[in-house]
Amino acid sequence: MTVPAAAKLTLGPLLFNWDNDRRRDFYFRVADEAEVDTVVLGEVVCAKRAPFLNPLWPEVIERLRAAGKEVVFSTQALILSSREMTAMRDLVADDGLYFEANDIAVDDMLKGRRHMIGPMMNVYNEGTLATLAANGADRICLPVELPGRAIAALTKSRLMEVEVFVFGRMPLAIAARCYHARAHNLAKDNCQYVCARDPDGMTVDTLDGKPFLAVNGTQTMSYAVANLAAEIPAMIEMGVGRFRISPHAADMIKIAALFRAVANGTADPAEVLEETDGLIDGAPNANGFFHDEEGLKYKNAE
Amino acid sequence: MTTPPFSPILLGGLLMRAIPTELIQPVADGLARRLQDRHPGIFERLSPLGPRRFLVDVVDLPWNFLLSVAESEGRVEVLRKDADEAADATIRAPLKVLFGLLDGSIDGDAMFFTRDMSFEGDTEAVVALRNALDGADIDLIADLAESLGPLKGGATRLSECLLAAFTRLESDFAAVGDSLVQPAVRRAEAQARRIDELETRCAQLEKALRRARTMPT
Amino acid sequence: MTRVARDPSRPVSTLELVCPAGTPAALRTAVDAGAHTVYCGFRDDTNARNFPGLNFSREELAEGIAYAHDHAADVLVAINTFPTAGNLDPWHRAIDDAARLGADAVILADIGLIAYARDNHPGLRRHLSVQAAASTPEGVNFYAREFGIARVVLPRVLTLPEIKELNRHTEVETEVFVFGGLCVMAEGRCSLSSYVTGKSPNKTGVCSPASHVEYVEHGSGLDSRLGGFTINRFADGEPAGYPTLCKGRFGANDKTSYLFEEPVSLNLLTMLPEVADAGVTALKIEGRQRGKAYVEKVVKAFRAAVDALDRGETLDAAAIDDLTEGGRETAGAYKRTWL
Repeated sequence: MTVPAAAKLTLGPLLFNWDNDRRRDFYFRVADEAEVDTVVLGEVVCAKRAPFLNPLWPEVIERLRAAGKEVVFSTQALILSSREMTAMRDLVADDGLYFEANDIAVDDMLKGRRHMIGPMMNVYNEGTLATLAANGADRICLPVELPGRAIAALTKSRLMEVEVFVFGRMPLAIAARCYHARAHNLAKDNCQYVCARDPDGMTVDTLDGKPFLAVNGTQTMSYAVANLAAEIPAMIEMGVGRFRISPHAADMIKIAALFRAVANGTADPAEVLEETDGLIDGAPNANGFFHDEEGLKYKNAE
Repeated sequence: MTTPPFSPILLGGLLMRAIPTELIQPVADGLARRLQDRHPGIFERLSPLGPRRFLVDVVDLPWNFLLSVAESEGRVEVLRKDADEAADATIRAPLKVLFGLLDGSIDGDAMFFTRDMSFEGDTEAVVALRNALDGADIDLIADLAESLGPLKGGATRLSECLLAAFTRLESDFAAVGDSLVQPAVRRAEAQARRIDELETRCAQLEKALRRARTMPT
Repeated sequence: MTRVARDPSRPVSTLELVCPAGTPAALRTAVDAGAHTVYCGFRDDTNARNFPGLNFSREELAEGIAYAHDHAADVLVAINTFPTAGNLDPWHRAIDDAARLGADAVILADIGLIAYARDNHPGLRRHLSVQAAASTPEGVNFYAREFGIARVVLPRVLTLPEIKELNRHTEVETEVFVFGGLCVMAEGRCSLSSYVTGKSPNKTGVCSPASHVEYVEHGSGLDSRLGGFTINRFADGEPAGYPTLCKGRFGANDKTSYLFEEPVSLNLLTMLPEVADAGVTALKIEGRQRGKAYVEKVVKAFRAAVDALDRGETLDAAAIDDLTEGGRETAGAYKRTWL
């Protein structure tokens, strides 16, 4: 039996609307200190945010690459107009970047080029994976809803390198409508970028006052925080070679170091689980999707 | 809560209180048999759920009906309103609404949205029952009449006449009923709103407390 | 089986009316009420309305297709969930059976399944389900080029001008929802239901499944709960709604509101001239989980409207208000002010 190569760690795209100064500081610190192999940049959620970020990317890419990090550039999850499509076409025209597609139209633009598939694309089975692989995709971060047995089957197919989302609020839905604007009684066209007020998303409570979901502009996320630290050893056994942690306002350098240690087999997953518990708004951990149960649940190892 | 409509059936029902359930049971048996023979699809559609018992509370009649479904078979038991029978789900509606649901002439979702019917318990079983009944082409008057056996021809005409008369009477009753109960309803609603407000304030306070606890000091 | 030809007097401009059937009885009702086309699904998790007591056995589909074809109506079979790796057989069998039983088209969402249908049943017409959320001409044209998709059901995230623009850039027929329940999230890209209940439209064909729904009466009204969470609360007499997650009342930014969407139904009846002008081929009515009474009323109203449109008449809003959820309606994303 061959010893699997050390699993790699990816810092996913920042899904929230942080201002450029905060973003720059964050990525510079990641370049200098974070024990991650790969950093995903780009605006995934809202076309209205993207233009403000464009001036920032060149220096961030340069700084990350200089620090030896692989850079992936992600793309919009839901494309609604020809203007947004043109923006995507202009973006992927840069052939010096490795892109992540979150919509089939972007995947098609990248046909014949090495690229990866993001977690917002519906990939549930080998047949779909094979079609995307034939199109030029060589890596995929699987949808958060997939159970462990499907992760195992897709990894076993060896059609592309498999990455699994192991930490952060889970992207659950994307819409044309902006719920952040709606909660502030604003129209989407005049949103005043109110989403920038919530660096980890806006908490949504049930009528019983229980925190339930988190809204991030047009995106709806889990309130609970995906945390698959305890499942990482089993996934390494399945052949999963990469794990993704998603940026939040908490100390991501520390979180990266903890997950790095789990992936290297040098830390006790149970301890890491405890150390990372409640770091985001005091929200609980969740691993239900992995176990084919309610996504908001945390199921303890038997 | 679905309250009995102030309807001709309600008044009729008060008079019918005197009738013992034993006299109604044969009609229920006949109807169950008839459904079984003519519409086996109903029970087939329900069978994946396993055995289920539905308590049908016809709010304007003096009886409840317990529908038990198991292994693609069904039976109906007539119960007194005060009989204590366990069921997986309870469905409450006036007779007219239940008739419409049975023969598919009214939309169950619409009735529920407008609160003309209510239910509690196993929602999946209720939805399955609704879908199974709607999927069968039940002609209620024919089926009921059939279950009365030799009285069939007369019963069909009688049912049709009764339904027509009932529809006319119904709107008159609604008007009288409104004038009798509206003031009390309004008072109760005001109190309910007040309770809701208090509940909401409690929840808000709890939330503020929770936030205060998780806030870094 | 004899197939009655489409009415030759039917003008080519007629919008095709695609109507829901959750049961064989609803299929006959829809055909009798004037549906040009009916869509339905098998009684398992291969379709996105996998509700208890609903859908078709193989025999029922065969009979349903015969009835529809006798009345010059088409039958589309929705096989529009996403099979999870390692368990593809039920989905492949569904496609094989739809082809064998003479369905006029299959409605598919998963790329792997579309490839299967193309390779194994090249003669079977393929429609792209709304669950694939193909919202751009580029996306639609990808499915046409790679898989020979003949029609796309557009996600309910586009405005009418955006639909018109899309139709200018694709040869693929487009079908749009005109009435019924409304997804506010991009369809097929929503895991809210599985987050709370473990069951999702994509994996098991259900959203906010009845098995996880509870209605609780209390002193002042009715609570609807999903997976133990209170999704909505109705005062006595207030129109109730099903606790679909995205149509619930939630607290955010220090107020309680219908944060995602109110319990409304889509209704484009009075906007049909604009819909036709946007270049769509077919109009879809949602509601395979609704009863015959709903099917009959809505199909009749829309068929009358389509016929009136053909005659160049203006349209009257028909009385279908009581069939909309919560008694209220919306034009959804078709009008930009909704966003």
